[in-house]
Amino acid sequence: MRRPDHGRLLRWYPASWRDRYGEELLVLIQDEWGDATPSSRYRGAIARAGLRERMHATGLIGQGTDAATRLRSGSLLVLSTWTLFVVAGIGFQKTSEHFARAVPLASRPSSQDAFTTVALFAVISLVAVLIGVAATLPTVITFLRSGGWRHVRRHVLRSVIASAFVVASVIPLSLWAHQLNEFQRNGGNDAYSWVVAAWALLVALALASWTTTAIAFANRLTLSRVVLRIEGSMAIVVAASMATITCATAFWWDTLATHASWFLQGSPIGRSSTSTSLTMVGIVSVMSIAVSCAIAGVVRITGSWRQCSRTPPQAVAGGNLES
Amino acid sequence: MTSHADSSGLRRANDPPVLILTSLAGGAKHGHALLKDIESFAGVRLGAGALYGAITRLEERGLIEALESSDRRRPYQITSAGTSALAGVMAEMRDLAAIGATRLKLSWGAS
Repeated sequence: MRRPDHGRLLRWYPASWRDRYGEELLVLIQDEWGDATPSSRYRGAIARAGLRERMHATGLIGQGTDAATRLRSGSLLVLSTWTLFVVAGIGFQKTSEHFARAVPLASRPSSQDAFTTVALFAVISLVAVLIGVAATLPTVITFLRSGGWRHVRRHVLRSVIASAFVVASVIPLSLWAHQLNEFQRNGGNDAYSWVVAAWALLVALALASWTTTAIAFANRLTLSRVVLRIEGSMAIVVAASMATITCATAFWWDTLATHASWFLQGSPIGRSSTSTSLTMVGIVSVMSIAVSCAIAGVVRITGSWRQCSRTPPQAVAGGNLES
Repeated sequence: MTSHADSSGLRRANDPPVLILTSLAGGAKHGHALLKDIESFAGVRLGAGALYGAITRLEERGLIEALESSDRRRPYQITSAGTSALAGVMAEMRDLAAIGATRLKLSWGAS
């Protein structure tokens, strides 16, 4: 019988933790299980503990890390959830295409106002993210000049390749779309719908990859107190924008469900239809989850804000999230 | 909860950190010995993940420290800060137990 590899269980823990406690934990597991394979419940408990250590190490939970790390991790949490939010936003943008034509004139202003609010706060959140990125640029350049490139090269290359696939796939997709009519583009052509869904998945993967890259950078940078405060402020703006967009999206959905439910189902104008739209349920659910996580990030930021202004920022040992 | 308990991160009697400190108050032990001891005096079977999560936090706060060992099993001992923190928690528990016992009219809580 093959001996179980208990060491694989330690992969749930961050590298820095494994270096310090890994051997001891491995011995303990061996003491408890010998040559037997640990139960799935035991493995699950180890996995949960390992993930918890990762969150501790990145400052997402607990008070063990310094205030600067907690502030930074709160900002990164908001950035990560914003990425998820963008995916839902792309879904909303696609779903709401040409909605004004389907809505009766009398109820058009309210739905249009809701849509405009979504668009406005989407721009505000994007600007806030860009300001946050710009604020860290000088530190990033210094980091790269001092030999940091080798630490993040893998992440950057992966993100660039994912983005290249997205850009390259836009051209044939656009050419195909131009050969289709509006009905075919909006669900009438199954093959096109599947390809668009695959493309959306590719976009989501590219966004997730860039977010991971941003985290890899952030974990290795020593940010000044001023930059940390800018990051925290922008994260709060992004979280507030996300919450506003979610409310406006829900209002838009309600207006459409009341006055133009056929649009949500893709039915011909005027045909009565159910107001329940699985697509909108999915979009608003993802947005709500992202906003909840962003609020947790904001709580982390505000809780560390005052303390961070009193204590000097410290560098964080690299490789916490991705190790 | 008093500020003393908040600063040490200790909360309840069955919290892993309190159980670990209580066990180490009787002498230095490594992970497996800690689990066995805690099970014997508290009837609580801690998981390996929970044990090492608590050990990590306790060591971060300076309440316990690792001892040198030639073995792969590294023993831990309670520090003076850990002893002080544990004493604070025990005093709170004693006070709480006394109040509860008095209200329940149990004879042992009066003292």
